[in-house]
Amino acid sequence: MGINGDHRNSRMVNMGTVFRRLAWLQWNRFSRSISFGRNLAVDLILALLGAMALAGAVAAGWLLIHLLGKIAPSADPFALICGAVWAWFPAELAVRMFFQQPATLQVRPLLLLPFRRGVLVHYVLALSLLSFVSLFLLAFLISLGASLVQQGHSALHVAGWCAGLLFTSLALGQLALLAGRSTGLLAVLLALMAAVAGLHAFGSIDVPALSRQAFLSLYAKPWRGMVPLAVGLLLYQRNYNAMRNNLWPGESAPWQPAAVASGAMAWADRFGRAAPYIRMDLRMIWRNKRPRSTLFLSFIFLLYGLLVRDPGDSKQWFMLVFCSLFMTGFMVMNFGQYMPAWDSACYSLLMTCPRSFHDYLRSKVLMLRAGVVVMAVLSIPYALYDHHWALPLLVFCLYNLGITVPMVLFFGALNTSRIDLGRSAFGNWQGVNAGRFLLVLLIIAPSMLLAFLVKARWSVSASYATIACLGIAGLLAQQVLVRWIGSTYAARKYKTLAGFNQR
Amino acid sequence: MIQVKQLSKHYGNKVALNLPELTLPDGQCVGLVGNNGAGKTTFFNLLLDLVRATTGTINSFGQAVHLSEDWKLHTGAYLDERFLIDYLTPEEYFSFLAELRGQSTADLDALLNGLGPFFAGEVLGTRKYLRDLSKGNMKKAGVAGALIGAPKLVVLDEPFANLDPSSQLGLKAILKQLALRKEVTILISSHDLAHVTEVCERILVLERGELKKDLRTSPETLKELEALFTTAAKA
Repeated sequence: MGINGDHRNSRMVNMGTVFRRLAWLQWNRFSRSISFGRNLAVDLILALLGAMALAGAVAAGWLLIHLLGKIAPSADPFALICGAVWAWFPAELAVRMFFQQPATLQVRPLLLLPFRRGVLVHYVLALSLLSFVSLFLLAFLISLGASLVQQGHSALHVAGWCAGLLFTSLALGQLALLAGRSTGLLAVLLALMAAVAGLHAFGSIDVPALSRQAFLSLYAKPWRGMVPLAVGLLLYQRNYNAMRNNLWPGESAPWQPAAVASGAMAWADRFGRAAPYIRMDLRMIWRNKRPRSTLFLSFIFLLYGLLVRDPGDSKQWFMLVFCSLFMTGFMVMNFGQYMPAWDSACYSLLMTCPRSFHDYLRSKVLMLRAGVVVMAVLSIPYALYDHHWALPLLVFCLYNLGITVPMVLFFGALNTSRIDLGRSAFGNWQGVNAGRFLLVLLIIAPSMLLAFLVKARWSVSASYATIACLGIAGLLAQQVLVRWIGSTYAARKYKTLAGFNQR
Repeated sequence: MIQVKQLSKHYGNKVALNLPELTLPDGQCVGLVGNNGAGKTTFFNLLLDLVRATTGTINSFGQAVHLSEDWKLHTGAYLDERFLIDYLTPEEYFSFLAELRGQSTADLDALLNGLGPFFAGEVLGTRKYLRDLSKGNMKKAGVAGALIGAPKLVVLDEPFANLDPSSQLGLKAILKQLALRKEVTILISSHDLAHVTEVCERILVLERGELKKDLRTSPETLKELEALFTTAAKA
């Protein structure tokens, strides 16, 4: 590609050495970060999940042909696979756009070192190729390919076919990186997908048939795998150029932030001594990436209710109440578990201000209650669609208001990991530890168990009544609870400060 | 009045601060000097009850800071950027503090008007969040925040660092004026010996957690301090 092609100046450090040193830097950045090793449990769970997913991919690849043979004995299983490959394109694109963050380098201290700037870009792009998605696909394809060969397909053609698919995936990865930077390209891609979907719906084209045709011909003429490879290289070149042009950090400085609007939020005055904290919290949410994306994630979980096919069916009752609890309570659990860590950057200031923890917590309680109500209101369409939803949503809304909110705040007091507000919540494990998982379990399990036991012994109505009564009791006891939680916060003040001060 | 009794702070085996006895009378303007690791910031953190003492107590406004929280009503402090709320504009930050410290909008406006020359038009009305200000302007906002609410004790860690020359002069003028009124106890740390001797009437020299010198400022103090730190550098 001629990037490093200028070898006249041999004193420049070569690419291999730079890559090795950069990898060393990256590893130290990871292994010396404050969160490393501290949440060993989370790391283990993640590693286990990763290993399971990988094993699952290998197993799926091996068994796919056999399964298809059982499901549709008359059809050619390989043709079926080729016909379904299309569905994987938008899925991979979406997964990569959401979860794959381009690797970042702290580039400024490296720019003065004697190697070409382009090497840095190659390094970042190479890292993006090594994403988990690619690994997953590679495992799946190798195992699928092996099973195809075992079924009597030509090894050479299968290898070409698999390579073509892998190249397509890599090209999609490059496309996702490009689209992540350019809203215009993203809009074009979405429009293209909508157009294809529309044409398919009107019967002008048949997407599965086209997919079958294309990928069967890839098998017949494996050299066609060069096409996605060429496209991938072209996109790589585009990414490379775009990123290399951004490698002059000095040019954008002094960075001029856009003028910001600032409302007085006078309506918050009605909350008395909690008002300044409420204003602070709302501004915190609107103006920082991490709380915003955490909140956004909560809305996605509203779709959980779609899992319940028939809410009136008593076999699905458990799923119904679980979804009711989860949908009305997810925002509280997801967002509230990071209280007070959301304020970790200015906790010192708050600790020297003449206000009690009670005022501080009251604003948090109000915010979290608002979260429950908003989620409950947004779940109303379920109740309109099927009236069986109405009662469980209502009683679990009460339960979340009365019990989950103080519970989340209490467990928040035990949380001493700092959170940087500026980074997205997607794929960000900062501040996440085993306690977080435990918290969600502690909130969900007892209420579910109680609801289930009361229903099993008496009736569904008794179960709802119990949950609702618990919620109302929690609401009535709120003053006492918040005071008690406040004393926990006060007792843990120094520990919390020490934790928040660690970067 | 601030009274220190048998105060010490250990981190593991390391003694960060050890002050058997110290009294700062009301209205005094006190400067803390010392090389890195001398214990200045540890002392401030203890005074503001942000870390717990290993032994001993600090009394501020008549009560131990870790037992009563009443000192918060009369104390303004700016130690570092953790005292800023970086996603607020300076105006929002000031009114947040004014609200918590029970100040009216009029009080706040009067104070900010007085600080106008110090801000030099770079803090108020810029329509930027605090995180987008330069280091110097962040410090100005933080120092101003510490003055909100008519505090009787003002604690500033390295207030002159990062400030441009005009702002350093402006800050000195503000602190001197505050010290003149003899109602406010001022406690500042600084690596700039000239500034601190000019502003403060009393200088405490800390070295590796111990109080090494307790000087009443006189025309000779600056020379004396320079001599002290020169020998320390040679040692």
